[in-house]
Amino acid sequence: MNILLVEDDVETATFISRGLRESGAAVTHVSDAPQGIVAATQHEYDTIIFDRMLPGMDGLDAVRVLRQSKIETPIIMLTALAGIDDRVDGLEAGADDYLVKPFAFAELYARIRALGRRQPMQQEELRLQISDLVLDRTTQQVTRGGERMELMPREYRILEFLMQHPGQLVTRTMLLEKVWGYNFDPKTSLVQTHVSRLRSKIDKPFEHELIRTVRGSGYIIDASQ
Amino acid sequence: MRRNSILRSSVFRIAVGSALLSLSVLLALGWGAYAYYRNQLLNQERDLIAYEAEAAEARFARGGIERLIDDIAIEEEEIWEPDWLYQTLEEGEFVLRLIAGEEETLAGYPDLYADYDWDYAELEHEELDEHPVLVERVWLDDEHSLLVARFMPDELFGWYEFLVFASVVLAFSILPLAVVTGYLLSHSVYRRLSTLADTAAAVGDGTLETRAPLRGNGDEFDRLSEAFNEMLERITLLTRNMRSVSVGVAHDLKTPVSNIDGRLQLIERDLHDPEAVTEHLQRSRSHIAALQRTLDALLRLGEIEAGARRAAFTLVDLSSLSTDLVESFAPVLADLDKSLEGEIASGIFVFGDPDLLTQLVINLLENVGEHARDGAKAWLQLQRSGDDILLVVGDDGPGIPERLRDVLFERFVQLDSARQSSGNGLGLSIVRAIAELHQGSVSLRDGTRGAVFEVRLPSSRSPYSSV
Repeated sequence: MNILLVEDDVETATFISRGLRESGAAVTHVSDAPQGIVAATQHEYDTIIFDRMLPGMDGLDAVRVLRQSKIETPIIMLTALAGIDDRVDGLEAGADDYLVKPFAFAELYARIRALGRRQPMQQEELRLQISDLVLDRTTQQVTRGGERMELMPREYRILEFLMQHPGQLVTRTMLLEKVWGYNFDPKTSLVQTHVSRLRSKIDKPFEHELIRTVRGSGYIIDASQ
Repeated sequence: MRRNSILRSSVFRIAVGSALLSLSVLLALGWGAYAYYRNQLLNQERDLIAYEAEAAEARFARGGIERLIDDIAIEEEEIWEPDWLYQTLEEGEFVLRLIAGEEETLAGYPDLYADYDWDYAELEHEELDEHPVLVERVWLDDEHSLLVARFMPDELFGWYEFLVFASVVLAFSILPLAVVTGYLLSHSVYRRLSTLADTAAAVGDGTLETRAPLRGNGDEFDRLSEAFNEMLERITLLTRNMRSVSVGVAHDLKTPVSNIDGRLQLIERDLHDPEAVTEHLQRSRSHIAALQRTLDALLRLGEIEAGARRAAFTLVDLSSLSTDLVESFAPVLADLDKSLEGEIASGIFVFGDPDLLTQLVINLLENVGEHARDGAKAWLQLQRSGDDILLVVGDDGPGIPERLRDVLFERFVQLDSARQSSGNGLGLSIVRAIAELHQGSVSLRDGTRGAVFEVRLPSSRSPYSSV
């Protein structure tokens, strides 16, 4: 994976670059918006990570420039601004995702992978299958080993989202954003509760558990079988 | 300096201005009445003169000029002596002059003139010449004309002179009087206001406890002072709140920071023990998460209170939003050994921010999760109440301690003052801020076993209902 990181803060840049390199990605790091725009237009990247607060130029404007010059590379914006509007502004400018500092590296990485995968295949799959677990999006029915599962609407949507990203970490924040549409983190274990109910239905009665918890981060649905 | 400021004071100007106004009204009335009276009187005189002139014409027609001369003559003398005029004056008789041609006096008083057919003239007379007369000139034939005159009535002059005198006296007495009254009036107002000004200055200098003195008679100055004092009370409270908020922020940030610092020191000590280090790291991250939540909540609170979100208001289906939240949170509360039931009227809409309204309900539900007793029954109720919408989130125990009821919605107020709970004491402040942003309110219901929060929001017409 080839990633462009536009970030002026040395500490944050080091933290991200190190994490990405350890995960096997190639990272190009520049520290201001003009350099970022030049790099993004000259080379092909899988994902661009753009800090919002850059010296001299708002990252938001830089993203707008990139989108206007037909650079369609997925972009994740990083920012310390956590207002509701800030997020909307970022997405409207053309960013694909928006992450508020401080964040866990696992969160960033999960989002990069989710973006990277989404890009090539935009068409909706009508039938998702992992191992013997099948989710039919036309009838909204879930079966495992041919046995029909009764899921609550939330549980269905959690499972759907997990199955769209097989083998990838899906963080709790991502689930809150995509399944519930919340842009803030409730104190309670809302996600944990619903995931554990989901698991008790689709995993518990079976020998092989498909949904795996990544401690402190989120969940992965197993794609190995 | 002080005198100067009184002259410039508006009360002074108003007092003098109103005195001048009433003076001019008084004079206008007096002179108006005089003009009316004069007009009436002169009309009467004119009628008398016209009548006398007609009688003279009739006599002339019957007996010719000699008959008229005889009539006018007094004691056989055609031409009147000036002395005789006194008698005419006393008896209210007419002064006459019969003229032939331009100037020749045939009979009557020779020094009576009239330039027009009707005229006011001054009678030429050594002693009476200041006494004006009203004269009519009638032509008897081409040759002869008769002047008929009457002295203007004495009463008219009496009134006229009185009015002139009164006007002068009033003008010269009321003006200084107004100045003096204005001065006294503005002086007393100035004194009352200056106590207020002094209070404001003292508060401005930082003595927040200063209050404006009251006289206790309930006049407008007392009311002003009372309002002023109430405002100061509120400001003092806000300042105190701000202090406690700052202290709360500092405390809430300091605790996790020192916890993290402690964990870092432990990591240094336990470097050889990977298991212990992992434990310390996890603890550190949970402290950081708490820190982050507090910062987020504070920023959110600032964002809400700034009111900027109002621009993004849309029509929100509160019924389905609530149903959704009950569905999401019932399992969460069930895991905490609490039950949640929804009793939600359908088709309830508010004009607002869906994200913030969601947060409002979540904060109330989280409050239940944190503070209701194990096994508690909680409920969320949404209904119309008159023109308002009433959203109730309640539980059946243990409720809010009496001492906290008044301050519950302030920042950093926690149900356990030792700050051991996972809450940061901002949840209910955010609820209140969101409710107020939507022109609503939140309150704690009285006399219930558990904690029952009532949120009142102004209702909006459903987009589907007919107007």
